[in-house]
Amino acid sequence: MFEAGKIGYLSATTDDELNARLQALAADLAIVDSRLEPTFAAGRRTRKLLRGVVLTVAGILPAAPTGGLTLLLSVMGVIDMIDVLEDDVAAVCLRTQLRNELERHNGLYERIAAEKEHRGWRSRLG
Amino acid sequence: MRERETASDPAEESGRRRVSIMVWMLAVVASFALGAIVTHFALLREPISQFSLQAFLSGPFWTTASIALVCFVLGIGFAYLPFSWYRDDANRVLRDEYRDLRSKADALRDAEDTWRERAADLRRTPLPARAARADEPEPPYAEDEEPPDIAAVISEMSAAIKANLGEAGSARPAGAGTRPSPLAKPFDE
Repeated sequence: MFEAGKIGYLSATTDDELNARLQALAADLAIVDSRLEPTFAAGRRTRKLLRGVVLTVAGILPAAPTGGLTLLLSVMGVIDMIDVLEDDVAAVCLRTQLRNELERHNGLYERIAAEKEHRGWRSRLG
Repeated sequence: MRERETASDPAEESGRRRVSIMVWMLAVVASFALGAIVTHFALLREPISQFSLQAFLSGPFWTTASIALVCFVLGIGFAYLPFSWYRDDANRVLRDEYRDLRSKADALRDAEDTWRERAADLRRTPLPARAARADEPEPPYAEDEEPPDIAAVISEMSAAIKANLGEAGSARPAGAGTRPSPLAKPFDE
């Protein structure tokens, strides 16, 4: 796997190396595509947070008549909410990291495409 | 390095999350209990042996605190919704950009493969024009000779023409111009 930030001068590489870099880039992009958060995960988190809110409220309000037993529901609700917030923080960190990687991949692709176009014109001109 | 990190991520992440949830819960419970106890003993000035949960939950502090907690939790729930929409949009944009870049990279690779296949085909099969050219007669000069220089040929031709003109001029009588003399008029004398 090639590191996108360590690519030096592509004009000094051979055609085979350039193609290998292009294939590695495509493989990297496929891996990143599988790491991207699916759409249903955000919906699942939202539902979980709303469940936590409902459980917490349902535990707090009838606490006095039940002698504090329903506070256990609040504990479950708070655990749900904290879990969702942790998930969110992890998702935001992952998105930031993937955004940075996307910029590096984009730069690498642009350089490979420019080098290939340059070589193509050079070979056409003989 | 990156693959190793990715492989060890799920177990470590679940452990970290469990610890984090416990810390969060302890912090919430401790802060709430501390606030309740301080308020209870500061306001009511009762010894701890007389503390009753039933009395606490039916007292004015819990009434106020429960309303505040409910409002706080509902506020978290309502505030989460626009943030989740924003995150959905950001994720969708990021995914679209990745897929766009991936399709461009695949298209470039496919174009390269197609070009290579065509080049290989061209190398394998001779072009019909080139085959027909093989049947044509050979050029007047041999293949190992270089084609004649056009400028040299033209200069030779012009030198030859000048030489011919020079010979023709010397063969004429002296005084005769290149043009015929005008006819003498009959009444010129």
